[in-house]
Amino acid sequence: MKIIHCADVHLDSKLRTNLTNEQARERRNELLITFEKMIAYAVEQDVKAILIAGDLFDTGNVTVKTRNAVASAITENPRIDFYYLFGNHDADNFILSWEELPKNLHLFSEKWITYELETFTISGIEIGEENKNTMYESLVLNPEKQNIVMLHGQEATYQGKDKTEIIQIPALANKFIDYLALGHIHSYKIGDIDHRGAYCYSGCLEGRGYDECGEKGFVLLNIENGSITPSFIPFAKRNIHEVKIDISGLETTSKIDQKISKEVSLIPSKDMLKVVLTGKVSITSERDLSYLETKYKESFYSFKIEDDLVRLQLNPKDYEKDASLKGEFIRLLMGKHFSDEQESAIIELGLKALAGEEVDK
Amino acid sequence: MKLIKCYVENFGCLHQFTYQFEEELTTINEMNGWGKSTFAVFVRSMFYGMPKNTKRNLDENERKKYTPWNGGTMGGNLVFEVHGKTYKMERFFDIAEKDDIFTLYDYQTNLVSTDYSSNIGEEMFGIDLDAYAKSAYISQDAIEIGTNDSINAKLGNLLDSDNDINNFDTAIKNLKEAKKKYKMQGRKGSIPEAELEITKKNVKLEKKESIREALAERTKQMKQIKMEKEKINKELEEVKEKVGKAAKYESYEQKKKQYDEIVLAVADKKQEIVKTKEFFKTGIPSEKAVMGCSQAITTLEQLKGEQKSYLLTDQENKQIKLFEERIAEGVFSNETLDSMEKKNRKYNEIAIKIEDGKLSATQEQEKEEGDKFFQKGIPTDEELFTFSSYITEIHRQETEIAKMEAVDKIEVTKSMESKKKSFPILIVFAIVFFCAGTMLYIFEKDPYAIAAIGIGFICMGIQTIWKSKSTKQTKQEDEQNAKIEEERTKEIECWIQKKEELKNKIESFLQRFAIIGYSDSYLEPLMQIRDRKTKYIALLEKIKKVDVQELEEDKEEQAKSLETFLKAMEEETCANDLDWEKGLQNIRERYNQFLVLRKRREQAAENKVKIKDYEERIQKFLQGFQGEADEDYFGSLDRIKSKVEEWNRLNLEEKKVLETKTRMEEASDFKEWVELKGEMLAIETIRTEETKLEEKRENQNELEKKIQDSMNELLDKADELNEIEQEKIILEEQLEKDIKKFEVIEGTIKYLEEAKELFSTHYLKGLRKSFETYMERVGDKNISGAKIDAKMEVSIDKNGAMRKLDYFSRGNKDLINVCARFALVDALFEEEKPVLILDDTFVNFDGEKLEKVLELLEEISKVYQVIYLVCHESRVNK
Repeated sequence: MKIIHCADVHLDSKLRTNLTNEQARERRNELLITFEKMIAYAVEQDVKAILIAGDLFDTGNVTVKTRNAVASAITENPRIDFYYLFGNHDADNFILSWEELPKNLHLFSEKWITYELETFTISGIEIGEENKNTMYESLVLNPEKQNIVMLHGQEATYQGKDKTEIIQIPALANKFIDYLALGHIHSYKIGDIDHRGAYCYSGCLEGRGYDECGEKGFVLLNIENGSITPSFIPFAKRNIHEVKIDISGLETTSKIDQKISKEVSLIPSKDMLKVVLTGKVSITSERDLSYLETKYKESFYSFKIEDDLVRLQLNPKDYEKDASLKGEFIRLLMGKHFSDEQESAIIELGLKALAGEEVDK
Repeated sequence: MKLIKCYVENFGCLHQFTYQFEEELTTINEMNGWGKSTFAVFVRSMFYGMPKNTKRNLDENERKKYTPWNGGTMGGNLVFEVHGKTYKMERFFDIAEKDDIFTLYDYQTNLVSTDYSSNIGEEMFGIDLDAYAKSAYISQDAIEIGTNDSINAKLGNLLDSDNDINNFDTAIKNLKEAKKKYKMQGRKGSIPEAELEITKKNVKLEKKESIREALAERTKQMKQIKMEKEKINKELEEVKEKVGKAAKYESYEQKKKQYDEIVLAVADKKQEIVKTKEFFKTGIPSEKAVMGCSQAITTLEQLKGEQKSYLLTDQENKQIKLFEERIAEGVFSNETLDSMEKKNRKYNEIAIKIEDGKLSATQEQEKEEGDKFFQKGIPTDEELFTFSSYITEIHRQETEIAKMEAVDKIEVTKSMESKKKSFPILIVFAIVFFCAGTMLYIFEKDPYAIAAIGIGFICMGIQTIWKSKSTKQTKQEDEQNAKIEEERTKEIECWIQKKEELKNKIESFLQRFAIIGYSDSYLEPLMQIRDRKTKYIALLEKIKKVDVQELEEDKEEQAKSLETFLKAMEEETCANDLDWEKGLQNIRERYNQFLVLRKRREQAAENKVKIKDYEERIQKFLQGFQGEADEDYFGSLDRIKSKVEEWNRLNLEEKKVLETKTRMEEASDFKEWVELKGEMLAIETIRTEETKLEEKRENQNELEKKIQDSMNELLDKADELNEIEQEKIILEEQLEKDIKKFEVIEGTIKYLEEAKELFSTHYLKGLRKSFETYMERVGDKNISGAKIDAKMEVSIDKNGAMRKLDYFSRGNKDLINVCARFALVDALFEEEKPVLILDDTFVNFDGEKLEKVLELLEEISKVYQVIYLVCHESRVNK
């Protein structure tokens, strides 16, 4: 038997950061389409259930189109059972829009609800202020069955301060959980709860910003012979990449460009790319980020370049006897206890200013 | 460097002015307007030129200010010594700087030297004009010490290729400009603006919590409403069930009621049927019987109607009587009438015959002419034919004669010229056509006869023509021909004779008819005779046909019979008018009428019998019903019909109610409701409850809608706030970046300035020392503690704080600045000493200060060549 575990779809997310309005609109549509494709995949693979571990929507104010599309996906696939656990972004609006909930849509609440199936169970609870401490004790599962549990929150491997949406993994050990289907973290992650079960973040279906790099998709659970085997299925239409490029020793924009070109050659043009320049360069080096951005933005769906991590290569001994103003300036700064970043930035700016270059790029 | 002498061609008020400089101190003490400042500017301009300037203010535009009024050339020359070499430089100024002329000469050789360019001042002193004005050139209105990049560079003793210090001011300026973008006065700049924007957004976001709470509240309310609706739906289901039961009870009650009514109805029907049956004494008539009666009544009425039409008037009776009498008398019968009509026709025929037998006036005249024409007898057809043949013969003879003559001629011609063959076939044609034509014309009057005759003539003509062209006869044939000719001549004479005989006969015949004026062609008169004969014979025939008298007699006879008959039949008028036709016609009509009337009379009698018969039948039928034996048969019948209908209806109704009763009794739930007892809650009450619940549900729906609308509004606002929050995050991120950048810029400015100060400190050391020395020489306790900073600004340490010079008197300020200037010059010109030009610099000094500074000037002039310009004796060193 096959089950899909997905989460954090964030349908109707605004997506305006790093994208034009048109791109944002396109990506919103792509989010929905990927969700619908996942359903189609489920039909094709004869999946019996889809676990949505929270944040199906990004906002309580779901558009009519999205609401209808999701409703349609559920009602038109009566053979698939949908288990929908609310996340911190979900609101009741979608559920309240139904006059009568379809039979294949199963919800949870602030108390543990367990759905008994043939050989396994699916349990879930929506973590809130009132149950965050008591939910671990109140979870009672049948050890004879394969138990899948759904939660939405941030995993903490320590007993930290009480905070909403923190899931204390150790507290869930020895509860006869075979698979803990989690949502909230937008990247795939899997780990052990105890000797019996594993916890897994399926990650989101589509990355929405440069803080969500890497492959995105869902987890396909194969339940067979008393075991649950998860496998990550990359499914996103576009991936988001962050590539760090060391430009140490590259003194010119041209040389940096050559290295970037080489490092990103394998990244598909449909993807989003952020290049982070690192390394140490001399004070006489130059780099024009606006040129590089202009050049590469045509090659990818979205392109961003940063050089906050680039530092100046400074040897104090080189400036000990420099009688120029520049020398005086550098010596003065090196004597102060600035962070590398700040020291580098001030020196670079000061030298640019003395060289008559544009100081505000 | 030492100035030796100069010559001013024209420069301001100086014209062709020559001056020799002292080696050390040159004091020029002249009155106002002499041109002291002008001279100072001249000397300076000789080294530095006059920069281009478009300002209108003369004080700012030296070129304009010192342009000679006499229009002469502005400029001059200056002889000086530097590095052991003497030069003479000439410089002349035009309106535009580009047109200025500079020439440097080696004073010894008088040759042009390229040791220095027109930028000789900067090349020689190492500072620009501005720096020179801030250092070696000290005028009373610009005495403060200052610095610029040039001075700093010189002080810093940097290489020309290092632009850092030169660009310092620009760098600081650019950095400050860049800094303004992030923050400037008046809360402007991206940082304060972003902070303000974030603050505004935070203010808006304060509502977020309340909106969230409101949303939660609405969600709770929605859930409650949903629960309430569920509850209502459940109650409604129960109520509907009750309604169902009540409806069922009601329907049973209805059925029972209905059944009872049916039973009553059955009894009623039976009663009515019995009552109705009493009407039918002899039983219920069939539809056929009723129809029969109806038809009988209809027929009776028809007969009665017909009977009326059969009645005869007196006139009609009289008419019948007349004919019957006449018939009885044997005067009249149909056959008699037919006979009279025949007589009338005969009468008419006779009249026509008589009329036909008469000739018209024209015919009479024609007959008279014919009588005259044929008074000697009418020729027979045979005679005409004979004479026609004569004509034909004559023609034949003529033809033969002509033929013979032609042959003869031909033979003659042959012997004389040539012979021409005759073409006998043409003659044959001529004869055939001519005869045929003649015959046709005489007997058939065929118009083509003329054509045939014409063709005959044509053939003859051709023959004649052909004959005219005779052939040559040979000599032998001539003899033969002569012989033949002789024979022929005889034959011709014979033919001619015969012809004459026939002609005589024809003429003799024609004379019988007084035809005159005919030609040799007898055909025409012959044809005329024939035509006239035909007409004449026709007239005679016409007269011959009719025996008028006999006919008249016959006609009279007919008339008599007719007259008698008409009078007998009372048609005197027609009889008198001899209008037998009309009389007989009248009689015929009257007779026909008589027949009709007689028929009517017979029919009336028949009708009467029928009427009686029908009345009996109808009466008999009507007697079978109660009270219907009167004479209003239709009314009676209608009543009977309606009774029959009633009877049928009642029977049908009885059948229906019996069927309904049976059906109801056979129903499966019959036993349930037939003995229904007890009471059920009125369905109305239950329905009222149902209505209330539905209203309640409707209210909940409305409330749900309102709450949903409110939720949607809140969600929109929440969305808006989310967006604001997103924007705030973006702003905060950007603000963080901007603050970082701002701090970097600030730090850069700060540390650049600090670096410069440190940097300056190195080269300002000497200057400060020199300044202190000069201050010790000329200063007093009021202005002790004066210090020069890295920016070349002087301040005085007084009462624990560094005070700006502006706090002090003009005289003290000028004194300090003079010392600072001297110190600056010392620092700037360690090697090549420039000429110091002082343009009435000590004008604000008191006596003590003046004395000290003049002494100092004396000492300085040992080191620098000094040109001291003054306008008052008091300020000259004695």
